[in-house]
Amino acid sequence: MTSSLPRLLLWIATGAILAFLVLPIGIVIIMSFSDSRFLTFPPPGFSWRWYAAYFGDRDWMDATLNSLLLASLSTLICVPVGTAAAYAANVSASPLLRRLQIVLLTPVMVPVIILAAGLYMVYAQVGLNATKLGLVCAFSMMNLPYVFISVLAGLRSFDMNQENVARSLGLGRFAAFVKVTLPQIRPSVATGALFAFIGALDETVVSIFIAGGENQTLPRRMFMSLRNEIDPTIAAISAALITLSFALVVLSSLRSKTRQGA
Amino acid sequence: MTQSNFVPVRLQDITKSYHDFQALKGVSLDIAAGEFVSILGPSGSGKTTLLQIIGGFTRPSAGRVFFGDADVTLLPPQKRDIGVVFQNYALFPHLSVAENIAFPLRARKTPPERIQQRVARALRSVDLAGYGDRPIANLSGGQRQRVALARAIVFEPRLILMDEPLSALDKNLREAMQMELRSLHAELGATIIYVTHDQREALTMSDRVAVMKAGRIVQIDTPRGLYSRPVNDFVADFVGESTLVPVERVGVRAVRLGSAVLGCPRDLAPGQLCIALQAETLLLCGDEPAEPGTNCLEGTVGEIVFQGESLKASLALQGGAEIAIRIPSHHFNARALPASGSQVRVKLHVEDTVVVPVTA
Ligand SMILES: Nc1ncnc2c1ncn2[C@@H]1O[C@H](COP(=O)(O)OP(=O)(O)OP(=O)(O)O)[C@@H](O)[C@H]1O
Ligand SMILES: [Mg+2]
Repeated sequence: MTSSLPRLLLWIATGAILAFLVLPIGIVIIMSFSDSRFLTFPPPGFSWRWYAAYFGDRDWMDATLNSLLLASLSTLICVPVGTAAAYAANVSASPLLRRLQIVLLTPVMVPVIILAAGLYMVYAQVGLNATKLGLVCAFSMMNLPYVFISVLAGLRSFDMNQENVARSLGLGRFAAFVKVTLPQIRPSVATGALFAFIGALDETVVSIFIAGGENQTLPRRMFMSLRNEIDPTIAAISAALITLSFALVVLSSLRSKTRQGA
Repeated sequence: MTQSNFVPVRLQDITKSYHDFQALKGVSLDIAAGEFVSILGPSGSGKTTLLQIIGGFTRPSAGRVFFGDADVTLLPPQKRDIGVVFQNYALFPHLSVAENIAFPLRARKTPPERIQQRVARALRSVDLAGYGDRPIANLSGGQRQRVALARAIVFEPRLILMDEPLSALDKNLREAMQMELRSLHAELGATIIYVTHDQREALTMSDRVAVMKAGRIVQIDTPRGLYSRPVNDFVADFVGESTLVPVERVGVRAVRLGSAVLGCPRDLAPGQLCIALQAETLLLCGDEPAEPGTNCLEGTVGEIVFQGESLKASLALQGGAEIAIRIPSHHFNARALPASGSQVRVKLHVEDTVVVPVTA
């Protein structure tokens, strides 16, 4: 077979890339079950102690709950806003609106560190640093592009005539959107929401700048604790976060599969 | 449906501009209650735009739309009570057949037991009884078409709009559906505005046909009127399959084509003229002198093509123009069939002699 060598190379490359993606995660998970006081690999023995250390620690739990709350709130804001923006961008014929799309995408184009510094300076003026409101606003802004892009992609393949028909059949514009358009673009909205949630959950750089005091976030606390001591609690937390994100992704892809199957 | 809601529709000088492009340039149209009017025109002539304005999906740049005496120009679609059917049907794929048809009733907060009755009746009227629980994805093109139709009529609208609703169907199904639409129209007494670019479809189904060109209505007339009295060369060319040949006006009711002088049924205005020669109206004839009311042309037979039920022969006239004649392909004709290259005479009834002014 003439094609066997290129095929072999392709397999090797694919394998290498997958390994590169999965190995670091695998190593973190393995180390989270270590019984050593240090982050050593391979771990000398198995134990649950670092999970106990994480779930038993008041400060860690506060930071975790706070992060979950912030991620939920910011998702609740940026899903409707991002969906509305995508809808407008999709139906509008105005060239001005088309140019405004770029503004919506700036949070992913500007380096995070610049964004964080900028937020810090603005928040310092209005007293929003280390507040829940400030963090929720920042996370919503940063994750808006994910919702926007995902929903826009969904709308592009949706036939807007359906909404026109729904209106002629007696529904107002908003009701037509809710009854006809939304059910059909739901997978794109869900994907956008998922990315927004996970993005907010592990946002570190911005947290380092504008979180603090009562309003600690989990990634920020992890970063701070890494500076002082390196123990496998971090690995246990990471493993827990990975499991959560993974579960969400799998859940949403399962849902969209059953939908397609129906 | 005991008492009909259907209204007359009046368009008054409708204009629609997109930036500096005028898609509609002053369209006026009067449609009686219960009338079936087709809007016929080539691609880009503004048919869909006009329908969208009547439906309320787009606002005109100027002009007014009346349903009966009510000015609805600024009324949103949900307040207009119109049934629409689009080319791709725009059925709701996440709902079943029955839910699709119940949609306008739910939107109107009709009580559930009434909804059931009316959906069942609508399904029967489009021959889909028993299909209520099917998902849309499992329906054939023709069935989708019927569901879209049922959804558009179930709430007893004031007007039905259709934008090329049959163009996605194959020929046989399309012709069957044309007949069904006609009888449905008669049964409901509905005011229907029907967009198409298929002239045969428009002639088959409509009470009147409006021919559009570049944002204007060029002519509105009954199918027969459109066919026999087109106002200009554009309409003559678009309606029917005719060949346009320039002619010279030699009298109030006479034109010259090559060496032949042809009589016309109506007075001719001075100016540039052409004759619309339709293959079906030209009959082969012998050398006998022409009877009164008959025009004769001579030409040389070119290629003869077998087209199933008929033969199509091209004919080069003396002036050099090339036209076509159609001869039914049964064997009585086969005996008299002229050979390619022979000289023949064809006759044409004066009433079928369509001479139209040439527009720039
Ligand atoms: N939203 C729009 N923006 C700019 N131009 C438009 C818009 N909608 C329609 N047009 C233009 O208006 C003209 C008429 O369009 P319309 O869709 O009404 O044509 P149509 O007669 O329905 O053609 P077809 O038979 O191809 O459907 C076209 O030249 C089209 O390019
Ligand atoms: Mg069109």
